[in-house]
Amino acid sequence: MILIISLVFILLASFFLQTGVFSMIPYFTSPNLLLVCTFTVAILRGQDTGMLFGAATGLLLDLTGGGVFGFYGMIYMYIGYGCGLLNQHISIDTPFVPFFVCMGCEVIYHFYIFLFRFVLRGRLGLPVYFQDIILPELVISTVFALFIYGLLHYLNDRLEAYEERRALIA
Amino acid sequence: MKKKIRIVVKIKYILILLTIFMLSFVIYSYTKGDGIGTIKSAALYIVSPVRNAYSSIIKRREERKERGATAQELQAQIDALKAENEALKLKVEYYRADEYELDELRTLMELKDKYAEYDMTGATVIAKSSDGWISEFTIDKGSRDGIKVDMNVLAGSGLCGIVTQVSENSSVVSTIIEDDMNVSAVSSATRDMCIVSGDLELMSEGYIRIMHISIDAKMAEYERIITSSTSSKYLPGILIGYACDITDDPNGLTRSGHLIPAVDFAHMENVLVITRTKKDIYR
Repeated sequence: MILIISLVFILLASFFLQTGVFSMIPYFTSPNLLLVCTFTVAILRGQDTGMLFGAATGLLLDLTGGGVFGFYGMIYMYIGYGCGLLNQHISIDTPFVPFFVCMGCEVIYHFYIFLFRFVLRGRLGLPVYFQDIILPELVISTVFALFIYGLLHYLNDRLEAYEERRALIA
Repeated sequence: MKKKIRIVVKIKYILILLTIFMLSFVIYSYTKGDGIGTIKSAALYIVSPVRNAYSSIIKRREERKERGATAQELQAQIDALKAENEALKLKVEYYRADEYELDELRTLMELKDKYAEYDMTGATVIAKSSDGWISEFTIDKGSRDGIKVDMNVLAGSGLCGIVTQVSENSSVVSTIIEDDMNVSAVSSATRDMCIVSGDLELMSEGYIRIMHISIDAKMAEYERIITSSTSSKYLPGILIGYACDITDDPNGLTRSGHLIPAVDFAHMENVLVITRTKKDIYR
């Protein structure tokens, strides 16, 4: 229960920060906090939580934007699912995990948008898009990812300790 | 003894199920257009008050800054405004003289109601799109204030976008620099038809694309480009920007070039919404 409440809180907080606060600052590229939170939750809590968190994130973006419904839902869900796989194979304390995973996810995410929103309409200016959109967002998201991963890792440790205590009492 | 029944579903199957669910949504909303408009506007309605909070905090802080100004600063400001007011008064006198002439000419050409002044309402931008690929923003006015889908949105003196999604307390605006937006336009002096089309590639240089200009158009460099009356959604006569770098296309039939938009899309805080759609006016 606590897990669900905190996940909803993380989702809403990063959504409002990303669309309402950071994106309103002129000449500042907004970090993709929702993406960072999605893969962090997936790595920390596993595949099923990651997948559902990703799907919820994407659908929230779809609901509040004007584009095709389900477009973001799909990519966020798959990123949550894919990063959840890492949970079984690597320790969450491995150094540089958020660094490399963030870069990987950003590249996949942007390539997905480029493919379905631009290539299909015959717009192929990938070098310009990379320089203007992908690279700035990748850099700033990675910086934010280091902090968010640390914060959520700490919260996750606290939550697990709490769950263990409750299991002992019960 | 009662045994708790636990249904164990493999995560893979949930993933496949959700994928099918979302794919069907994608196909549905792609073909139907606004098939799920009501759910979307409900979601917008819920998230808007929180988004509103941040922009109102910023506004309040600016107000406080203004209130904290010293008497000397305020006096200087008043003097500057007085001088400006005098200059503007003089200008108005000039314009008034022109206006009579204009009215006369318009009645002569029976253009009167076509270029009637549009009623507008101001709105504040409360959120922008989540990444750099899309340039949408959300404003703090919705159907409660009479906003409808397809209303034109201006910022400063130029066309900025069109309302695409409306909820009760907020609405989403797609800007004309968005990659899949097209506006049919006309040059103000020579009346040459053209299409203004958003292009993400050119946006970094501060331009939008302008194309399908006839090869024998007499459009001059830096000529004002305004919305054309042939457009199905945009009201005629709104400034879009200034044409430049116009060159002949390889096909030898059309010309194309760049357009400097009249709106500064990076600094949009307040916008104006024209409260009548083209359909309302020309029904």
